[in-house]
Amino acid sequence: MRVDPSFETFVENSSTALLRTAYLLTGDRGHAEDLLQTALLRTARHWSRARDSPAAYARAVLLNLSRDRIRTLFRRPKEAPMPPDVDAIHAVDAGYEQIAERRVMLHALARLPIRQRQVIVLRFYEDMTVEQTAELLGFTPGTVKSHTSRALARLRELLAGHDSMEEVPRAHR
Amino acid sequence: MLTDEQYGRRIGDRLRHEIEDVHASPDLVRRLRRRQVKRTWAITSAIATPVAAAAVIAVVVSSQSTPTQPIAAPPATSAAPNTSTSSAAPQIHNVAYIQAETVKALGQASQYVIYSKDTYNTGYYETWTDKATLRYRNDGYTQLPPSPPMGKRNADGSVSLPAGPPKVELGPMRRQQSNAVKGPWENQEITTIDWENKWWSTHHMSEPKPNFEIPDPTDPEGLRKAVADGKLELVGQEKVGTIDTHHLRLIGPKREYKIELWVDATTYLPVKESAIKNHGGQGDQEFPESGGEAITYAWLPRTEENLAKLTLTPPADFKQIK
Repeated sequence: MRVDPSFETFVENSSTALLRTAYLLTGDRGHAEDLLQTALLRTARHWSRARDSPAAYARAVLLNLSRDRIRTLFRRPKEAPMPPDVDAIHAVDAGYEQIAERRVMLHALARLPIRQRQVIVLRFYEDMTVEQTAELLGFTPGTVKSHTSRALARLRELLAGHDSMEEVPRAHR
Repeated sequence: MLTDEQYGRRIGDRLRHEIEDVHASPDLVRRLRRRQVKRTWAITSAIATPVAAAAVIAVVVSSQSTPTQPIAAPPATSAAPNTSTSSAAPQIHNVAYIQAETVKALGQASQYVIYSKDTYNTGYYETWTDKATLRYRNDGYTQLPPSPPMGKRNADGSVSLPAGPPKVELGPMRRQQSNAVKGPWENQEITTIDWENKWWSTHHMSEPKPNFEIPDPTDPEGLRKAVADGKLELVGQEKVGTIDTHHLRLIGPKREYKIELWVDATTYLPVKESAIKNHGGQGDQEFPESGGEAITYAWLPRTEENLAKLTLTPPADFKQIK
């Protein structure tokens, strides 16, 4: 594989951000890395088209791949859950309880349907507008809003009673 | 209580915090190079796959004369005990459950590129359908000679027709014509390539959707209606190739057709279909088995590679006639 130097630079600069997005979309570190590599390979293959905005191109591929993966999961027996510390986040040196507590939001996010998860990740993790999210996912803005509303209602349920999630920030009181 | 926007922002912050020490591998480029090499190998070996797949389909199709019997296993796995009439799956489902699951699964049909192969005596059609973008493409293959002999030309220019039906020698299977269609029935753009005569054309069609006599088993609404109006029964569990399936039989509301449908026991998506119109006879002659048409289905992810199957590009040396 001949790698364009500008593609290498793109990978070095953007792969961590894309990996984090993939992780949020899949809820699984191993799958996220696999998805990232596949997305980057596709970006490389279409570099002439993608080079103007490679991160956006790769992110769009990631979103499609994450949906494909969900479909694939539906078609085969459910995977056995991994032991809790196998995909532990690097550089975590505290105990398991601390790790589990750190992942409360990730676990809650992973329980959302894929469309709702995508919308939450793009809207509030990637800080995209409703319109940008709609364009990337191929939805109407109204669909993005309804997915967002349902996803947030579900997250409120899942996270009810968790620390200070519902506290109103001081500036807004 | 926080507004949705405030709550969403807080979730975003928490997510950033929870994954802040997730970092991509520093040797990612090297890994990508290695995967690209593997992919090249995979593509090379995949060239052999259609041949094997065609063999499997051929075996399945050859079993059409007795569709209620177990489907023969493909040669490659003939040693495996998959010719039994019952699936290895231990679950027992009733027909209502399977029907509901099938209609539900078909509701997701737009998430796939549907590949189907419709086989008949002297050829077959391959079709790729993308319901999400209202596109399909089909390729017709035939063993019939390009111009079947219709008679013998005499010295005076007249033609003597043969006494009986002309004898047609079947040749090797070859692609005859392809069509790529885009848009709803009322507004379709169609590109056609005639591979034998080396021409291609495009045209626009605007006709109301016809009422098909036999429902399309990939259409959830059509199937739901057909089941509601007609009669559905569960024949049993069978193998189609290597896939565990539920074998269903659907009879039209006025017994105007019979569909044998095999749905994947895991996904409930159609794997194979054999449909036949009522021939007007009694008993076995009402739906004579030899008149059936066999269609096999594969449900492919909407990857770039699979979506590319829907594109039809005329060769540069073909003549455009319209």
